[in-house]
Amino acid sequence: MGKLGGYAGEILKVNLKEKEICTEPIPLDWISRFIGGLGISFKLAYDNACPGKDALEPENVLIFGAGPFVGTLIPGACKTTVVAKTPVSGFLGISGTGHLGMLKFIGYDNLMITGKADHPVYLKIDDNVEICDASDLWGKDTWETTEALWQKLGKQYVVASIGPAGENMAVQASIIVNKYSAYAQSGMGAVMGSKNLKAIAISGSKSISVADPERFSELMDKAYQQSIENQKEVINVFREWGTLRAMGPPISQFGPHEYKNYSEIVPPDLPYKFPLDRFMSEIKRGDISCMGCPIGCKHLIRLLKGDRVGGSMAVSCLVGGFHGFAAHCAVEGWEDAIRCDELCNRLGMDYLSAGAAISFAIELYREKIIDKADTDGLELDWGAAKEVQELLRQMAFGQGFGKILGQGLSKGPQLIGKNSEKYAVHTRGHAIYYDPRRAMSPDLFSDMINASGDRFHAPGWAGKAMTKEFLIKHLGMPPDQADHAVTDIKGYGLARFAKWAEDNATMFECLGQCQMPMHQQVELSVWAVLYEALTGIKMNGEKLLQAAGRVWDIRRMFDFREGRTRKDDSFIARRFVSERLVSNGEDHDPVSKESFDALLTEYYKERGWDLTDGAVKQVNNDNGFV
Amino acid sequence: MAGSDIRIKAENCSGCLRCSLACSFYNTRDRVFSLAEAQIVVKPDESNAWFNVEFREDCIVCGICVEHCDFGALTWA
Ligand code: SF4
Ligand code: SF4
Ligand code: SF4
Repeated sequence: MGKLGGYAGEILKVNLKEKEICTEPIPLDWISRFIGGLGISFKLAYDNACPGKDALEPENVLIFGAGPFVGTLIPGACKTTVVAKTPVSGFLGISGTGHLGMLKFIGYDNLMITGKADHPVYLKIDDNVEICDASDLWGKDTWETTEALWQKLGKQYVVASIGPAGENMAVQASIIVNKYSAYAQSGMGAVMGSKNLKAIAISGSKSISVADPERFSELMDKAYQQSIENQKEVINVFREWGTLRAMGPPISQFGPHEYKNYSEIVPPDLPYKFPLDRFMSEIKRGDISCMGCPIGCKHLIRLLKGDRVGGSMAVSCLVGGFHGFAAHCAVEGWEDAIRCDELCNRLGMDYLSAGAAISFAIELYREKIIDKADTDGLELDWGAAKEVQELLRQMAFGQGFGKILGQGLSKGPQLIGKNSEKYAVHTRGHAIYYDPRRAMSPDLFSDMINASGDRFHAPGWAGKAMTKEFLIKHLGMPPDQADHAVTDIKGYGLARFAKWAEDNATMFECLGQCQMPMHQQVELSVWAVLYEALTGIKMNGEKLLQAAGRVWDIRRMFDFREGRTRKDDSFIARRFVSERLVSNGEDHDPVSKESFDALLTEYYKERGWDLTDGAVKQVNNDNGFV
Repeated sequence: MAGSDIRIKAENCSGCLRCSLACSFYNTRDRVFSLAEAQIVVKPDESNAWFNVEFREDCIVCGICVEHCDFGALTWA
């Protein structure tokens, strides 16, 4: 096993209750079935989670994974994931970041944490693995925690920590790596908190070997050519603006769609409340990149408000903050939007989920379903930034009305009652980015049925039109299907198309590759030969996609065991099916349940899942993962 | 002196670690990726933009790290 290139070859298992630490080699057949990283994590989750238990009970398993590409020089080979049963929905939750690649250098592809420590602890992993006391860190925010661990251990340690939100198990709780990079969505910080695990600090001296270095080196150059060299212009814009690029025309047309809890469409002048020239001249201080990526779409920015005003903060996804606060809650101006982002980073909370929960509260207040007595005197309104920031604190500390919001958009309305569910816009508890009344797309459809904290980026929007050639060479579609999809996406079926794009994205996550559009410009056949040269395992594009399909199957089987059926997949937030979207001169019908259901049938067919309950059919089970 | 012909502009550093990964891959006998064996070390340092960049003793000034830095943080002096 140790002879395979790319893989560290080992899984580290830590039982916090029994204080047991052990390592196990990854079985070779798991690698051929599920590739690595996310795929292996799903297999571990399926085998080790206790069915029927609540996500915040000690029986839940929290699994970090880094695919075989992570830690190499392939551009964008940085993507690590964490999975667990999520407290947001009770099904599998996933979250990713490009900054925990150090996992590979401590000698593990996956790290599985089980049980609950009897007091706050952190994990210190270098040449040894130690469970250390974290009583003095409990209560600290993620910045203070990271700074304290850096002071104690040294800055060579990568620190993944939770803040008060994770400690108090708010479902919006994230895990923050090195003070800025987030495992943002799906409440993985709450799962970590439920285990009394404050932080993981890792520093590795191990190395990653390469089966055929000469060939690998040539192929890395080829990947660099396709993802970086061939599209310098796009890269420059991306580096300058990062995900903020979604704010400026023409992208804003499919940029932040939701506004004021989906009651309106983003007004065209919203970007003017956030002048981009000011961002460039006064706010942005530098570029930040994930491990191994020459693009650097993240930013170092100046703090404009608060106790660290004038200091710097690195941010991963600035447009996520925009969705959460500028769009959902109508907070205006850089000062307050950035302050909201900063609070989220420090408290350890996801921008989008936190903003969505607060926008729900604002609408309840405006509709007089709740009042000052419920909010401890806070007067909530669109754009009331101080109140939004106070609610963020309350959610993280489990206080006041924030304690209810911290239960999320699925459980929260049940606690509030008074028909408040009408205003809760989510898919099985997860906040979503776009409004399906305005336009249904493959990525939005996927988000609505498979919401779990990760999502795929619509392929091909790196400034290039989607062509038949792209679908064949990149998504691996058979030519006749690609022809149909490109000439008539509706006729082909956007749900059918979603399956191909999902598999592609999952393949990226299993390999450990960023799926930003620039990286999607590398051909499938190149990914396959890169894998071959790195690991020494024979590979082709078709096999990679088959494995990704299998990863979707096991993910589905986990959820099925937890009771997920077609009914869960058909859930559409009440607002979307009962209200028209009339705003900014546009008028859109509610989503038709029937046409959504037809999409679902189409999707199940393409996946080969049972049409009545969405179960993975026996025929798919020849992979032997049960 | 180690890396003395290479100028470090830490304020441009994005923390991508491509310099360290390239140094280890192209300079180690076994052609491995390793942060421990790289002769250039990048660590968080908020007093100095966001990262600190340093050469180790055994840097042979081959310039491979310079070639792999896309952010202008490493240039020839
Ligand atoms: S494109 Fe952006 S998100 Fe992707 S690896 Fe590069 S820096 Fe990270
Ligand atoms: S100059 Fe060569 S040896 Fe020195 S750090 Fe750069 S790549 Fe390594
Ligand atoms: S010095 Fe250059 S290559 Fe090295 S981490 Fe910084 S930006 Fe990346």
